[in-house]
Amino acid sequence: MIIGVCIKSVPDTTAKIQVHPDASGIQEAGVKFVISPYDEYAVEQALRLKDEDANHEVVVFSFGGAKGPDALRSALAMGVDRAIFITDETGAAADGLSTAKVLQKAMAKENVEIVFTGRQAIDDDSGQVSQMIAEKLGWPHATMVSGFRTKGDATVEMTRDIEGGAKEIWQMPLQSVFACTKGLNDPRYPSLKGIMAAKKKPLATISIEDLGLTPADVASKITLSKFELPSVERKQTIFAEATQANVDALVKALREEAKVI
Amino acid sequence: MKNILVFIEHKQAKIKSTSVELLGQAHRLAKELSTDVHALVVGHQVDEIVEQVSAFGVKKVFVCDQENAATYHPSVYADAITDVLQNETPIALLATAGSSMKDVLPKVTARLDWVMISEGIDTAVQDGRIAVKRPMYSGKCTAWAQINTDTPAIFTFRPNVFEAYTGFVAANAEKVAISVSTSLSEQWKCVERIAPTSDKPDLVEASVIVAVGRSIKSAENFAMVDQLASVLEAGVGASRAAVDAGYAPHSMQIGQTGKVVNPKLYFAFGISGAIQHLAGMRTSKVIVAVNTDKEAPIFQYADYGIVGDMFEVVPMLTESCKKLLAE
Ligand SMILES: Cc1cc2nc3c(=O)[nH]c(=O)nc-3n(C[C@H](O)[C@H](O)[C@H](O)COP(=O)(O)OP(=O)(O)OC[C@H]3O[C@@H](n4cnc5c(N)ncnc54)[C@H](O)[C@@H]3O)c2cc1C
Repeated sequence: MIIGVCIKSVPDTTAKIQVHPDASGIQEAGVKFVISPYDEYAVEQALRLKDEDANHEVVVFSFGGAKGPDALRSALAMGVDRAIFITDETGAAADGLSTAKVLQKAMAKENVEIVFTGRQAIDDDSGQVSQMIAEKLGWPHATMVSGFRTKGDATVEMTRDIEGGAKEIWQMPLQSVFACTKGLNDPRYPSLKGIMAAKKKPLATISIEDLGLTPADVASKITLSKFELPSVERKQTIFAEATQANVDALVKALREEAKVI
Repeated sequence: MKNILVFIEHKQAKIKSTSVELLGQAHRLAKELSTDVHALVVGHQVDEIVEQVSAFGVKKVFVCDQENAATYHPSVYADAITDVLQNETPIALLATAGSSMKDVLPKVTARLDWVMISEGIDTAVQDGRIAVKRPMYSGKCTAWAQINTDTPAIFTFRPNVFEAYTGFVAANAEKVAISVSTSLSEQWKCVERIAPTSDKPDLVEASVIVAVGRSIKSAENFAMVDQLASVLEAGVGASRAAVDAGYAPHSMQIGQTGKVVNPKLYFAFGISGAIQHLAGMRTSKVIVAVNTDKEAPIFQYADYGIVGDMFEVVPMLTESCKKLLAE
């Protein structure tokens, strides 16, 4: 079976985000990029299927971004077999559906039979691409996947996290698209051996034209602008001691000044 | 004429407050775009919901009332929503960014070849089109997303982001019944629903949240914050360090790799204020921090704070709030 995994390279969670002076985006210079944390669960789940059956091949895909190949190389170091990077010359990746169209074509071309993604990339936090890929492939999808067990050759029993700590267990065909979240597994760290081996593994770079798409097919319908840092003025009334009087004063302020209780 | 369509979510025969919030924002947008607000209800035995919709100035309500829509299934919901959108082609569909709509609307968008913007926190009308403000980089910054074509759009919005709307004028909504003949496969079905372990409000929708960090030291010690939470009808959250230590389930984690919350009031007890935690709660209207370390970064983001031991402060706070609310 060929297992497809879609990943994205995003600023490290510890990165301090700075906005361009013209507010057109963030400053990427000096920012460390990593595999989006939820995508690591997707890579791990694919590798676990391969651990069970070495005949499986795990292929990892990423669309766009200057640092895309770095994320792919990290996935190769974790143990993925091959990587495919699709370049984005026109900023199509700003639109979830355009991204999904590209990734779906790329995976169909590789005859992928099951797909794992992260539940959302932590840069734009849209959480759309996985379900869109599934619709384009004509397959079922599952989001917020925090449990995954195969049952026989063609069925999966998966756990899905929903609001308020509730969960659902779904039965699905193996041939589905799964958007993974925390709790699913503990992603492995690349070993030194893995990192060395990754250098020799195939990482193909292709264009959307190689997939039979034109820039018009995937033109972004979304324009992003006016990036800004949150600037909420905080009152900063800090009581230096934990006394009953101070606690009462705090509660009074919450009622009378802030009007929130 | 093209309208603005709102997806109505409901629970226990009542329209959810998050949907009312969206109906309000839909009216603000409709006024600017000189159009009407329509609504869409999906479910089973939803007559009461359809009736309630009329109170919110909705001109037309589309209703998909059928047995296999009683609980959420992506196939049925996608078919019902697609059916209405295809025939109605509204300017936009507005829905709440909750687990069902986040799951199904990308599927619908792909089927229709439309465009979707998720997790909005504000709207504006620019050049006759709706633009949406949304958090990026897990709330570390925001940006405006503008649709640059005439393609109809699908938007989801976070709960509690719009001011309450007071201009609803009750209208007799015209009811349009639809039905879809989705055949559900045995292959793709929900086999079990596991109820939440706590009866606390859902964190994403809660208007007050009490959150604790690693220094709570045990799962049992949550009883202390649970008491404060019940007095304030608050949701209970935790830092990742508390979750990783096994004191709380991941569903309670707030932050970049947990829930992003936006309550009116957020208490951070013994939480240092790491950048990943801030990403999940920094848009809270009022932030209160309690920490033994007066240099803890969380104080820089707090409206109010007490330097002190939460094991002393929380019980005092509980009593003090109890007294105030009893008045
Ligand atoms: C990829 C990645 C993703 C992450 N995602 C998240 C996320 O989603 N959410 C998240 O929260 N973190 C996240 N983190 C972790 C984050 O960096 C911090 O480690 C974490 O938030 C710290 O939790 P804490 O404040 O409970 O613990 P600590 O940092 O250990 O802080 C404990 C605080 O409690 C105070 N304290 C101790 N005892 C008391 C007492 N008795 N009374 C009052 N105060 C006391 C201390 O002064 C200190 O400030 C992530 C990290 C990474 C690398």
